[in-house]
Amino acid sequence: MYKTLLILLFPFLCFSQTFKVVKDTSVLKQKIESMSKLTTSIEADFTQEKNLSMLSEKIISKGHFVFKKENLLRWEYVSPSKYLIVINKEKVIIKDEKKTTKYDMNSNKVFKEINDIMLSCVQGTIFKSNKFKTSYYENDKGYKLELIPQVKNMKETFKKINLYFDKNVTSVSKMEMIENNDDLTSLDFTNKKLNAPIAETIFTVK
Amino acid sequence: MRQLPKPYLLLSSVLTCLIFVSCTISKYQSSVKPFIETLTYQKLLPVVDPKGTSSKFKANIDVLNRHFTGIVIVKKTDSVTTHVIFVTELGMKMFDLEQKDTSLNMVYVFEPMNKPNFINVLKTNFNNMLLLGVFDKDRTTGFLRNKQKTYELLNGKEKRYLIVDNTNKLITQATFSKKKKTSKITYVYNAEAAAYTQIKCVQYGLVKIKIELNKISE
Repeated sequence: MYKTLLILLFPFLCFSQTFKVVKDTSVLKQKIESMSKLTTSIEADFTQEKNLSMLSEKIISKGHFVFKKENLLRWEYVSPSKYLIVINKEKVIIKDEKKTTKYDMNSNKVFKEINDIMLSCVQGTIFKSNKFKTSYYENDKGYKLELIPQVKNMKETFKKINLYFDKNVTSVSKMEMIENNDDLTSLDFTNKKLNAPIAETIFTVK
Repeated sequence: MRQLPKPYLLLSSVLTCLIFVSCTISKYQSSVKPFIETLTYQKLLPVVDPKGTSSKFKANIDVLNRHFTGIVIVKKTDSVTTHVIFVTELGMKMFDLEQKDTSLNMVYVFEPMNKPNFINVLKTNFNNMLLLGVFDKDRTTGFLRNKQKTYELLNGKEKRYLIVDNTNKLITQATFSKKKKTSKITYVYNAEAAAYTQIKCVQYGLVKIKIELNKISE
């Protein structure tokens, strides 16, 4: 009986998860653009789940991030270990349990790239980058942007990046990075606070 | 006071080094109570669970003036295969080292790290630290001293010494090339966690490397 019920309900259970192609992308693009313009700051907790397909294992990390326009980001892991990345305009500071290292963004191409991706993902504006080919999908709960890398360096690592938005397009709710070997890293954002006042001092590391 | 001429100083420092080096290797060797046996999981507690449960470690790797941090996950995937995977905090996979039977191969390495020197250093040290391929192989010579067993593993000119306490937990491992010490690895075993909770490795010589693994409790 239970099995029969499950089989009968299966298409309905799956329905909410299935995404279909967005026919008119201009409306969605406009929504994301205006979301990005209206957002001056974002603060949220995140849960990062790394799935290693080869080992059938997961690594779950948790943390907190704060973004403030134009170019300030504090990305902090609290478990399983402490690790902090701060982007403060042209400077990148990385602090782990042993060491604090400072980099100048302009002198390091890799950090410039990471900075661009992190900030544009947090703001949702990554679809404007010519480094990705973007496809737009939707279901009854929200939108999904599927980003396929177009540049060599990025192609070597990622198969695709997925960005999820809720139906109102207020902020990015989830992000997935799928590597070429099918390892998946997902980031879920919770306890979001938009446009709350944020002191700039949190973007400095002593 | 008259200073010694330079050649004397040089000679004395070379002699001091030689004495120091030979003393170091003799610390591990002994002719007292030698025995020969095959290393099994009962005689030496393994780092990698033979039943296939994964172990996760917070890793700090300092090599060639570069500092890497992340998570190392170690898992025996079948009776002859073990994987060692290093992932950064941001979730990027840096390398995947596979030990299959007697071979050790880098099956994936992040392109900027794909340098032969770097790969060799990682392969050697992770192989030693995690005791890959030492069990149920050849008959190994051992020495008994102060209730501690020392196992001597030979691989060409390289010698490895494993010092094991009276409860079969590994305390220290040292490797030598001829008589020159090439690396030292220390282990901390935690009875509550029933596992090695810290492994520290220092490789000496031209390519200096430090690896520290701290077990993540789940």
